[in-house]
Amino acid sequence: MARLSDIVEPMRTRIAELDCPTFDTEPWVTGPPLNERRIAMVSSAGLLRRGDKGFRAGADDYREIGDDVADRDILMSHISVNYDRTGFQQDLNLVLPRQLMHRLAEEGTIGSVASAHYAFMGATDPREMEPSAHELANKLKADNVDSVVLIPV
Amino acid sequence: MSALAHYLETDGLATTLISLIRENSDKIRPPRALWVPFELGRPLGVPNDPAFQRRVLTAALDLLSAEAGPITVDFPEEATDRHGDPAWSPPAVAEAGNSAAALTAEVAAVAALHPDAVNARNRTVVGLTEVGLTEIGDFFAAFLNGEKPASPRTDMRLSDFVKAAMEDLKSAYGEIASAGAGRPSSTQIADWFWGGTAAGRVLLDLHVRWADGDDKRLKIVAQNFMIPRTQRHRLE
Repeated sequence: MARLSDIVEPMRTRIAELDCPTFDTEPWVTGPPLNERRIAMVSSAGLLRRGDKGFRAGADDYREIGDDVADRDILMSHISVNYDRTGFQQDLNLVLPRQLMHRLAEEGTIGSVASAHYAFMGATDPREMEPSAHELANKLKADNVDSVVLIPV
Repeated sequence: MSALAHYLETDGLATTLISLIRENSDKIRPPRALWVPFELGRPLGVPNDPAFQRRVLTAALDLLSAEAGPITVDFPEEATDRHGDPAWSPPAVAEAGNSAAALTAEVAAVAALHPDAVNARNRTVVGLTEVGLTEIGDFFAAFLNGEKPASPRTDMRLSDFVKAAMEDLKSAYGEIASAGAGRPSSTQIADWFWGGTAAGRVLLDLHVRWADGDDKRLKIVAQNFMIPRTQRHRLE
């Protein structure tokens, strides 16, 4: 369904003509083998902890979701109504696969799971998020994270 | 997401991205991307299918071992549940019409079923407003009666509460719709909510009132953040 041809108009044209940032550089970070990496997840689903302040249109900040926060205390406050939320209602792992990440760590496929994951609200122009992204990078490195899986909705 | 990957990689973190819109990530060229052919909102593909989700996640993680980039790889599988379940039937809560009385009766029925759905999953995504479902129903019913209620949350302005209350309401309906037998698709649940319930009809009605009204913030909510594109034909 996320083939552009499957998305209804006028959303299809809006997505196709989205003003995406382009960059002059192509950063490429190498690292240890996968089974030695410490991995965090960054979502653009507007996820937050129950009781956190919700995201508004134009939000360029992020919310922290501790790896030990209970599934039942993770909500979604994305402003868009043009994507499915019923899958998330049924299964948190569809959007933030914490159980899977821990299973992969227990099996030795990855090194370890970060102590926290993070969520932006993806309807905002990502250029506005750049300062928050650099701040987040410092937080992740302070947690000894070396690799990040980015997961949209 | 692709731009965030660029920023984080620039700062020294290796990134791998699940991409739902290939055209966008092709423009931005993040270091590593796995394009998946799934519905927006379902980046891991299929709810309650850990084996499927695992194949998606490990395919994304495997890109961290790529020797050079930028690299984009297509995930080879389609989601297995996209066509819905013909055996599914919605919960028997729907009231006819779009009156305040129909809405409050229907929300009461949803609220009665909701605890079982929550207990079955040990989880609910209802709670953005921190206000009960019955109060949310009464809140929207007041608009139908020509009132303009204050935000029940003093720390949330009215338009923010309206948006959060709509999400809580839809989540409660969605959670009871998927709690029983059958595996309804997102389309089945959305068509039921927007086309078969008093709550859906009330929100369509309020959309028209607010889009034409004089409250600027409610107008913005109505015009942009209320009715999904896939359901807008019901306004015609």
